[in-house]
Amino acid sequence: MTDDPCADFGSNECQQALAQLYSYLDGELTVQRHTVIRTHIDLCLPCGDRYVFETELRQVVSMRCQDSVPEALRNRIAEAIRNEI
Amino acid sequence: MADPATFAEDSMSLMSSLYSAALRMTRNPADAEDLVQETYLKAFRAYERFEAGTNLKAWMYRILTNSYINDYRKKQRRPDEQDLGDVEDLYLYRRIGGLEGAALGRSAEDELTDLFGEAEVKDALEALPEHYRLPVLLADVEGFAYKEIAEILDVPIGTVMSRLHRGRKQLQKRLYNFAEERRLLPDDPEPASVGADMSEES
Repeated sequence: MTDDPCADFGSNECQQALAQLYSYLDGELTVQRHTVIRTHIDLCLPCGDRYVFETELRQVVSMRCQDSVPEALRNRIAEAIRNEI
Repeated sequence: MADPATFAEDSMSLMSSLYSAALRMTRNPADAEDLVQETYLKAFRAYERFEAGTNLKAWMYRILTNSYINDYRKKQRRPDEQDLGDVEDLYLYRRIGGLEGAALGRSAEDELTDLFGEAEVKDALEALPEHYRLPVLLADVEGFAYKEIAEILDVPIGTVMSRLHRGRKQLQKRLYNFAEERRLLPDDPEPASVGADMSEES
C-alpha cells in the first residue's frame, strides 16, 4: 500500500478522469467539468500519463492520414466547375 | 446565402482533407477521386442553399458522406471488415504505455511515430467496420465536434459517442496487431493493470 490515492486507480477522482478521458480530449465537457479533470490530471501522475499517451496517439493517427490531392484531380474538378458556370 | 461565384475560392482549400477522407471511406484511389469530384459538383450546384458564415467544411463532409453511402458503398470492391467485438479500455496504453520511459529522453509521441507509420495507421483505420470508421475519421483525423459528426452522419449524438468509444478501442487493437506482426514490440508484454473502467458512454 502507498499513500498515493491513485496508486490502484481506485480513487473516485481517477475513475471519473478515466471515464471522461475521451470527452475531455474531444473538448466536449462543460467548462466546469473540464477544469475539474484538468486539475486532476495535473496533479495525478498516472492519470496524466494516460492523457498524454492518448493525446499523442491521436496526433500520430491524424498526422499519418494526410494525403495530397493528385494534381490531375485538382485540375479536373476546377474544370468541371468552370463547365457548370 | 452563399454566392456560387466564390465557391471555387471558398472550397479549394478543403480538397486535401476531403480527398484523404474519401480514401479512408472507399479504400480505393480511383473511387476516392470520383467521390471527391462528385462532392464538389454537388456542392457547387447546391451552393446557393449553403448558409454563408456557417461551417463549410462540415457541409462539404455531409455531401461527401452522403455520396459515399448512397453511391459508392454498394459497389465496394472490398467487403466491410469484421467487428473485433469488445476491446478493453486503454488497449494500447496497457501494452505500450511507458515504453518511452525505457528509451531515455524520448517522448511518447516519438515512440508512437516510430511504431505506427503511415501504412499501419491507414490500414488500421481502413480495417474498421464502417459504422466505427466514419466517426473515428471525422473526430480523430478531422477534429469535428460530436454535434457536427451527428449531423454529418445523421445519427444521434449518443450514437456518435458510443461508436467513437468502441471504434477507438478497435483502432488501438488493430494498431497493436500491426506493430506486433512487424515485431516492433517486446515479446508478450503483460498488459498493465488500470483498474478503472470507462463506462461513461452507453
